[in-house]
Amino acid sequence: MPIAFPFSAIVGQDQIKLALLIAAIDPSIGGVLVFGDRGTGKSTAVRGLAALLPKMRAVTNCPYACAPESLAGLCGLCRDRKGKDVPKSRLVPVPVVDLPLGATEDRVVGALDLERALSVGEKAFEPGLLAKANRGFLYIDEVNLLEDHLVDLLLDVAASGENVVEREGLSVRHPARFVLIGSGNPEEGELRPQLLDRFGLSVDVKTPGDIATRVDVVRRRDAFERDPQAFTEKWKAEDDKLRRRIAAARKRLGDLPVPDAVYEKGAELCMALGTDGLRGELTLIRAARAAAALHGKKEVGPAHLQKVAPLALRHRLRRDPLDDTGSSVRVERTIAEVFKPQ
Amino acid sequence: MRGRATQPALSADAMLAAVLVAVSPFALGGASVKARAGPEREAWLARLHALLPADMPKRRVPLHIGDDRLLGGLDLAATLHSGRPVVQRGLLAECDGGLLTLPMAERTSPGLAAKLAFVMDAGAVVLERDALAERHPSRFGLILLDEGIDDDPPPPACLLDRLAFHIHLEPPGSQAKEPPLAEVGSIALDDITPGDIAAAQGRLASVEAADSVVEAICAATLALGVSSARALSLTLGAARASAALAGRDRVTEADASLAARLVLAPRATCVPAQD
Repeated sequence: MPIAFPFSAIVGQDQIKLALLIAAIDPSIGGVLVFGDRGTGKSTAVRGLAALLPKMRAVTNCPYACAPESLAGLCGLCRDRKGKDVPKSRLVPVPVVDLPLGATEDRVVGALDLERALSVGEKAFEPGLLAKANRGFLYIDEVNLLEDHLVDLLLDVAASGENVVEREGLSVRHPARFVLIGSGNPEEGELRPQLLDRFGLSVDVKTPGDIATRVDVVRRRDAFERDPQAFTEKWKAEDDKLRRRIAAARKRLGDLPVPDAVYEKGAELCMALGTDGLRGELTLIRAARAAAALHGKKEVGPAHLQKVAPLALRHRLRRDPLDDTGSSVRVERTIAEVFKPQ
Repeated sequence: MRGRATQPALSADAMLAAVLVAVSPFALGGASVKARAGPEREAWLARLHALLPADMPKRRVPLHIGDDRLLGGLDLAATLHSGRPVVQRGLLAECDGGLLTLPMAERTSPGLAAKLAFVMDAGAVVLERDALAERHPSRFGLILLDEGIDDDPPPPACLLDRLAFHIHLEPPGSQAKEPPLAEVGSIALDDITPGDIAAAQGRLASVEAADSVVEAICAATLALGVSSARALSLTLGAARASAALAGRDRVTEADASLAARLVLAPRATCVPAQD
């Protein structure tokens, strides 16, 4: 794998960075969609995150990287093994798996192991990308161009956390819990509403408009391309610091209290925006909690809610036939009204 | 006239773009060439090819290419023959280190464009097909041949954004204006040899750009309404290639303004305000 541009060296793009860090702290938030202008470094941020994530403990030789201490969500092999003895485990990098356009269905869901079928005439399952992404991230660049049949199978797996394979004479089911990350350009096609709904957070990226920021972007990019090793080394301390913050935030997350006032503000905001269903509210609160944990707070406050609201709610607005302003603008406006000092 | 009187006359900027692509085909992405099929386009391509090493892979991608040939896949005959999976690399992997030409680029499907863009960014084909999971290195310069007429849509924006130069070759008879520049440094454009290109490539990594140059380029993108950050990097890359070609190890104002004219002007979305 080539060296990734360090996450902490990315200039600006605070919304993408915050959304990805929130997903890294609380994977149950359900994925991040990054939509926006060309050449804004959407993929750069995702690849940078991969290098940043703290390692995770996984059962040795388990193709699904099951967690040794876990009781639920294990694959068939680890379930059978459980209770007999403590399985051997090791620290592995959190998988950030690319689902490239042009991937075939057999490689996504997994398929008959061709080599073993041909050489020893044995029917064995060769796990695919969904297996590889278990407990990690699945990244789809140009997600709006993904073929329909692949979107269909992703929708089901992303909702159930399990991949059920019934093909080529195989009948296999295995855990496939991952954070879905999609990026794309809205000019190239809309996302199906069902897929849009699978993303907990969405980010609308814009190119920085001031000279100083743009100069920084170009300078760092240029320095990186000319000597990736040296550049990464220079930013290592910053990346390490951020990695420790993620790990600390995860520990803090479980017992971070959410005051009633924050729940009420969240409900008020969702009602004012007319978001569909309770999913939005739930994601809003979870994201606020993760943001508070990231900043080392002891309690979730309205400021955290305000900060994550555009990420959690922008893609959940019902179309208002009387108001054709963009959803980002509508969310910003409503936030300003709800959080107006009284 | 430098003994090329029988060749169709190409504008100096178009020639310059060919030269800069030859110096830095991967970092600059390549070029989109808008022209009808004809002698002008052939002359431009011939000039570019003449500047590139003879052993550099040069391939054409037909629009109807299947994913198995584009990205690679299972070689069925060899697999059955040998009794174990055998990979057949795709065109993009075969063209690693080379030049790829996409004819009728204005007709490219969004899917093909997105796959090409992905490989250009990753520098590799990430193959997840036919029970195979492999990564094949693939760095190439891309030439889009845009035959669009009048209101035909342009080639896919995701590809144009990754190519430094968007050239429009004028049909004969319409070249009213005098070419603005016909030499780089002290070398006449027509006299640049593959040896000069190789020398420039050797110098390229050590060419420095001062902060004032980067700031000027950033200011130019804002004035012209070019929002893509990639366009910025490509402009800086073109300026650096120009400096390397002229034998300098610093980017001068002339390099930057040349790069801005070639890379940014065709991307402009507004006219800069006059002071």
